[in-house]
Amino acid sequence: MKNITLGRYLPYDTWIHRLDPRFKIIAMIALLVCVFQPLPWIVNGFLALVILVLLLMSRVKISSIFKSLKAMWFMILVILIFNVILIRTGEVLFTIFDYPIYTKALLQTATIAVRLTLMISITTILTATTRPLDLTYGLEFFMTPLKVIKFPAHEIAMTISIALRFIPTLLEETEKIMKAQASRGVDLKGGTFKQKINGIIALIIPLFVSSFQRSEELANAMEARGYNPSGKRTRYRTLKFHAGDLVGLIVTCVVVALVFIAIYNPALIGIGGLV
Amino acid sequence: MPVTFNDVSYVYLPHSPYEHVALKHVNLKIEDQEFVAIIGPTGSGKSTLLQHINGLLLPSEGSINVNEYTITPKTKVRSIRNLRREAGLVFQFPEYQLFEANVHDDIAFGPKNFGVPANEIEERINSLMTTVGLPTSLLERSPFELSGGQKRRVALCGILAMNPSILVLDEPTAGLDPRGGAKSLNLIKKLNEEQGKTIILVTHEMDIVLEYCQRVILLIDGEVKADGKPADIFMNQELLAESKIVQPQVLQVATRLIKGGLKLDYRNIKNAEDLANEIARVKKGGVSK
Repeated sequence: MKNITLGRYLPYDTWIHRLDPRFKIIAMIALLVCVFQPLPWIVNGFLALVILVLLLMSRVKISSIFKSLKAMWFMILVILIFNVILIRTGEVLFTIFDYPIYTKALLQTATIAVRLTLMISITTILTATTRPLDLTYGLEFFMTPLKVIKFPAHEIAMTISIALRFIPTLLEETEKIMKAQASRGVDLKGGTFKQKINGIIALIIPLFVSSFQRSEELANAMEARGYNPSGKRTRYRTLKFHAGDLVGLIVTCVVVALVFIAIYNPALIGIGGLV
Repeated sequence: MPVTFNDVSYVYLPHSPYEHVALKHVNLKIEDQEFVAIIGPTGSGKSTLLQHINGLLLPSEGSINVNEYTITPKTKVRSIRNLRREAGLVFQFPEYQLFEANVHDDIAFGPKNFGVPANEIEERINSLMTTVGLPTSLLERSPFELSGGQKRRVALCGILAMNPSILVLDEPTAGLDPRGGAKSLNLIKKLNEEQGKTIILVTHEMDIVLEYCQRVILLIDGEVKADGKPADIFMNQELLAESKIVQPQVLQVATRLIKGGLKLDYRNIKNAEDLANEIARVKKGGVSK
């Protein structure tokens, strides 16, 4: 269970790790918006390069990104089939059983695949370099203005942080119960379909029982320490905007500006001929 | 057939920032029908060691022989599946593994998985309930309705129903009251003496180790630091100081008495009764029993 790599926080101490989570959330959204623009290939390549540099800087293993793509090949296949059937423009590349395959269909699929890869990379950078708690602090910060319309910003942030806090605990618990049931002959990998279903039941029921027990204990422990969701509270760790964040902000702005200029006024940066 | 560890090392999450070496070149041999305790501070690799015995973990280096099975880093889990029946592993707080609609089905779950015929399972369940001291009226109840101690005994039955020749237990007394703890240890002892099962258990309670076990293996930082008779290990003051083990209470008393000039033979002392007898023997200057 511990070998779930994608999206997991990696405890390194890189420049990206030290950035303010609030800034990282904004930067992530900005980059995602860029990635999903109808971009010419050269700009896509530029974005991919920027993201690759970020991946290297944050010490995320590139291989882990490709591993996650393995899980998506089916989705990409479905998209390919739809595109081949629906997109009938562009040149005919070749024909299979008298059915014409258009270049546009293949290009469109490739674009989607690239976008998905970039999207996974960006979100992985965020979650690999930001502690889950910092992430929720960041989210709470952005939700705070909504308090004006009685939006329970703190409660939601608290719920998210409790949920995040218990993911490793539950994984550990799952692993323990899996091992206990494996010792009683459960074989989730081999075995017939019926055996597998039985194995999953033997895993899920104890997991539910212990989660409910755990949540009750946690609720009692919080009450015992006087937790009041509507109370005003201070933080042990406060978020501060540092010089590094400013550099990051400038870099992000430049990247976003370049992407949008490339879309709407390519001549301005001298790539007019290429688009 | 004995359990042998040949130069076994185990690394959690190799090549990642979470890498952790849990076992370092462990060499061990546990004979048939031995009653062995594995002790050591938290994080010393005790549980990791236990999980190698029934092949839940495969060693990173070295090999393990259990009965006719050999486990190496390249062993396929399928090929050692039946080992899990022969070496029954009871986890810490085994009551968390209960899930069936009633106690009967939960106990039958393990043997069923290993293809034990139904009529034999019935026989085993009936005799096991008597062995662990649970009324057969509980068989139709939901395991979640039982008390903590009962749940644990049901979980133990679930492992015993597979009729393992080696019983491996991770902290069997954790969370039980003293009387419940003594009860389950007497049961384990009975399984060892009457049915000839090899017992390997992990515990933090040194009094238990002294009273019940024939042999102690002390693990520190994934290495075997000491291996021998409980009395010898618990009277080795240097080792105790170094490994921060708390001496069993009766031996604390015995140590003081010996220091005070009483010529006690600590090898005869396993519990308070033994201590009293030993004092009586020395005082009378003769043999008493």
